[in-house]
Amino acid sequence: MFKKRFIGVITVKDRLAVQSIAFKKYLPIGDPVILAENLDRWGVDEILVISIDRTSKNLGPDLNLLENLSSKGLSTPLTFGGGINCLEHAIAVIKLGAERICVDSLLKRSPDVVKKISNHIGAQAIIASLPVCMKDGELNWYNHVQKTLGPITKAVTELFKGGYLSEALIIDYHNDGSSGDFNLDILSNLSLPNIPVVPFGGITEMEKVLKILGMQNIIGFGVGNSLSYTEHAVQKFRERLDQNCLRVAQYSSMNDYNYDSFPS
Amino acid sequence: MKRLKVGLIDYNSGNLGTLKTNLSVLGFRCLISDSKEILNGCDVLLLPGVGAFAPAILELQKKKLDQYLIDEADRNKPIIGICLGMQLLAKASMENGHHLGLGIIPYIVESLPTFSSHIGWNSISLSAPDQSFLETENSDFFFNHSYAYLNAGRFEICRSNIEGNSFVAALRYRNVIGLQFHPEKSQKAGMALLKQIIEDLVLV
Repeated sequence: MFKKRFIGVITVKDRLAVQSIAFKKYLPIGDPVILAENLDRWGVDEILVISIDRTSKNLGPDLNLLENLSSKGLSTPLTFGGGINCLEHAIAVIKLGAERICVDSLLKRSPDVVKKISNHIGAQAIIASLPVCMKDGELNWYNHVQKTLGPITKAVTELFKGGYLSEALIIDYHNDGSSGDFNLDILSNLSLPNIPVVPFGGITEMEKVLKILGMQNIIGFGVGNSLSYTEHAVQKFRERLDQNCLRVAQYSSMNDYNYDSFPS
Repeated sequence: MKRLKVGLIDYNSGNLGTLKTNLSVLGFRCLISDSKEILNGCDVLLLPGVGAFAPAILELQKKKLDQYLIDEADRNKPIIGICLGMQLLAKASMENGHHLGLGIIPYIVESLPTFSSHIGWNSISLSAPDQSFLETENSDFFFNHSYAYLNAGRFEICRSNIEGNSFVAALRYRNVIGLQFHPEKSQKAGMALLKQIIEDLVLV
């Protein structure tokens, strides 16, 4: 049975994991590597690490952070984003241990580079990050570098239609960092037919998750820092949902690292 | 017991960093190399792969590792192909055109029938009895691919399916095993399976 994905999202700024509030205010949480180790142990289906300041500072991807993550022996799929602006960056990120890359600004700046990357590493390895919001009943795409709003461009739609991107990470940036306020109107106003969608931003409550998972083209959901504040948050989500929808909860102990005996 | 040595083939198309660390966690010695001399000294060769078929097979050819892998498979050297690494074992792939593969598995890699990509966790079911897979048969594993063997005849070990359309999840030809999923990124079940496969290939 093909399961929907519960994605743990780590937002990184100045090499520190942060709680982002509406892309405006950032509260420090701690070492992103430790957060990733926790998510791995708690059994999320995927870890998404996004460094939000790499593009605006023209720093390229944070390969040092990625090396640190890879050195921890995480056995959870890793998607890595922030600062990737050429094929060489994408190859380096994959080689250092990420299964997939996440691109945002590059979609606006250089759709042709996205195509080039996709042709090399495969569309399944690229997820498009789209921070959006509803304004005056219309869906708007937020350019977080220029701080402007606009429609999702034809070039991006063409990238999806052409099969260069596998999924869309739809971030409700207004409700980013809030408690359970992800705006469902975003998903019903999304004009990306048949594109697998992962909503993120203000998803903390089970009721919201249930509504989201019932919508069309939703293949998972992302949850950020709230996972770090609630005991057994990942497991509680799983236990409330049908086992045919999400994988069953796992509780780790130190004995789990003895692979001589499975199941433990 | 001596620590088994796994040779991770470096051809610019794989998530080598993670594999090396995770194989070490499992207790194996691990070398990343494109040198035949170094790879010859390993108990198992592991062909990883994240990416598209055509540039990957080209990289293997550039490094003259394509014929090396074919010869080693003929000599019964234990070889594991993961994800794209499994697909490269094929006669050919239809990804972005028609491209010849290593031809170790005489079947073709094709696009998935219903989904453009299969990304996420899915279960596997055995289509042939295989000791290495018995303990983890009903577990979920992480897949990340757009192409697959839809059929691999007598080489199939297990299949997986998306909304009723199935494809080959694992296959075996003598001492060569291919895994469409990423065991190293499939948490407890994947790590346990990877360890089992490596030990079975070398020690049985």
